Amino acid sequence: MFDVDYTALEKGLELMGVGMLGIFTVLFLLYLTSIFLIKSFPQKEGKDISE
Amino acid sequence: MESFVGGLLTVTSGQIVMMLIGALLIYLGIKKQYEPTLLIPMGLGAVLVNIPGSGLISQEINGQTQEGILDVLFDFGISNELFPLLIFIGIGAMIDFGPLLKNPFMFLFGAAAQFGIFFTILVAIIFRFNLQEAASIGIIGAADGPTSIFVANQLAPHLLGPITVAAYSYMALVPIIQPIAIKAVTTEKERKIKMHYQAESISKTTKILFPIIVVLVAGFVAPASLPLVGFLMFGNLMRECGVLNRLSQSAQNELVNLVSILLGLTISVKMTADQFLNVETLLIIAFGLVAFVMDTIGGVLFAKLLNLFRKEKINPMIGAAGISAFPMSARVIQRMAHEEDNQNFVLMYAIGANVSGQIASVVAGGLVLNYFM
Repeated sequence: MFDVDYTALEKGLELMGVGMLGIFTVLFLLYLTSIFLIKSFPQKEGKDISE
Repeated sequence: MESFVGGLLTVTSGQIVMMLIGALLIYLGIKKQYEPTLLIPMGLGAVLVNIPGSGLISQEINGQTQEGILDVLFDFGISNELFPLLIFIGIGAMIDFGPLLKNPFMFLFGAAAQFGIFFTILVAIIFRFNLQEAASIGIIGAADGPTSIFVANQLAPHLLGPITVAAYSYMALVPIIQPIAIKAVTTEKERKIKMHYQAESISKTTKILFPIIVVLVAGFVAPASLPLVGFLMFGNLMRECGVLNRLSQSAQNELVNLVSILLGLTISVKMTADQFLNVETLLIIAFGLVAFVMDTIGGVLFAKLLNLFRKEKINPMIGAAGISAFPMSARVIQRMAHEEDNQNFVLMYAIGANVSGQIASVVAGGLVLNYFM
């Protein structure tokens, strides 16, 4: 039914793989970093910059 | 006499259709309040640029090219990405990352809900768009107008008009699209899952360091995302640092308002009948819907996948809030949870996922651009 350009489709699949992997990598790193920040700079204990 | 009715005699049916589309955008903006800040200027812009001999766009008169002011603005603010980036400073100044930092696990839902972007790229390729065009169309699924403009302008500037219209229209239609998509892939029992909310306060130090760290992480993984991420986080740093309140307020109000006025009007340069009225536009509008639906489904299915391994179950609707349309998506999820069980409060989790979607969408835009570099 469709005259599909398989080379472009292959590239699209590659972009999908790279893109989703990249997004999850960045967001997972930010997840880990956030946990580190929250543990390292709790609002209590006088560790906050605002105190 | 002829000179007075010349415009009326030379107007084409395509131009009339475009003026009607412009009128429809104005109607949707005013009556339905669908993204009025963009749809109203775009709507009037579509009328302006389709009047024959319009002095607003560049044209040849007696063999000489006369520059139109909208084309001048386009070169000044959109060709070089200036307007979308300035809007990002304002958006960054508006975002409170607190709900996300209180539940960092929500970061992952922002990532999962970008699935629609890449799914739509494949669909567009199947319909014979080339890879760059398909990527620009897929970015509608970022549910983030400035990111769509930024990416489309670099990869497929000729499709900027329909992509922008689709991106902003579907963002306004999130309250209609998402419930249908969510109900299609969840059971009533799943939608009733309650989540215990543990409110932790976030220190100012964390809030200040966070935008800087986002810039570093996103910058090293996807350097092409830095214009977007960098400006977004600059705005957020102004908000959180506590010593630039005046600038933060200006970014949230005056800057965003001024640029929005010019952005909407300027994009209409790409809404002339000859550029807009074709089968491609109809396909792009349809693909935009596919992108939003698949974003929603991607987020929900990811939450369901996580539930297979978790003791404390997540309400899978939270996954759908991982798109960038803030705060509409979070509100939709809370409303749906409340409809299923009036004692179910998932708003803070949904807001966390929604804010994560704002970061994920700009990272997605950067990664797509990175691929073509």
